[in-house]
Amino acid sequence: MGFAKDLIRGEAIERNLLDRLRLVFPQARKAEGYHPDWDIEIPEIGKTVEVKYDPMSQKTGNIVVEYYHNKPSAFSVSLADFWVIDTGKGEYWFSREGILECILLEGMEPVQIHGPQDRHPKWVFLIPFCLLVEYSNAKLL
Amino acid sequence: MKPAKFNAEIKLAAKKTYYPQCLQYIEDNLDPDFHDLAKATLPYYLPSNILELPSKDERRAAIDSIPDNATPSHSKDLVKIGVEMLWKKDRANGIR
Repeated sequence: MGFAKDLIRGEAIERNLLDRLRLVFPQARKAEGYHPDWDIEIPEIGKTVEVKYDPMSQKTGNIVVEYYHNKPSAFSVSLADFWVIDTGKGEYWFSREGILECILLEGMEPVQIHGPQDRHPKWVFLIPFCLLVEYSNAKLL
Repeated sequence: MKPAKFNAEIKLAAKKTYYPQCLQYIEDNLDPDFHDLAKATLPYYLPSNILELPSKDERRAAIDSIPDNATPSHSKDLVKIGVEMLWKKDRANGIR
């Protein structure tokens, strides 16, 4: 799947999650425009969610947690309480602290990647999915 | 700069433990093109170094040496959470 299709699929996943959240939290809303702090806000419980689509993890076995892309980005700037990572095969919920815990306790080191669509290289943590999923302890309520 | 060299330099910077000294190391040893990246990477290496300080007061002082307006904007928050997390883990393992 190409970048454009991934983007469309990513947006569809975000929309689908929002629709499901609205069944329980009718006021849940998607961030409009450029909004690095979070993707979805749930005012009823005062929580925010970052949604990531990472289909490449099925091939590589690693989840990409980006923190610098020509400037601080993603994990460095997101204030979301929860990170929802969709691998294309499953949806996994993490607290922000859970991801940080995995990075610190597992001694993850940053690596540089340069995607074909990227003008600048990204600095990321490539976290083995089997490792990260052990830190998937997020509780919404 | 190759990533391995960059990571090695950041580890050395983080060993300075107190934020101003970490920044000084970065400015003295890394090309200016890498300063922002280095500052964004520091919060992932600082917690384990701060945790090695012998007293709670020193650990608190090291965390407080990070300005509230440091770049990236959540640096202090990330480091504080990281130190608390590692401390709890050590305690659960009977190390502290």
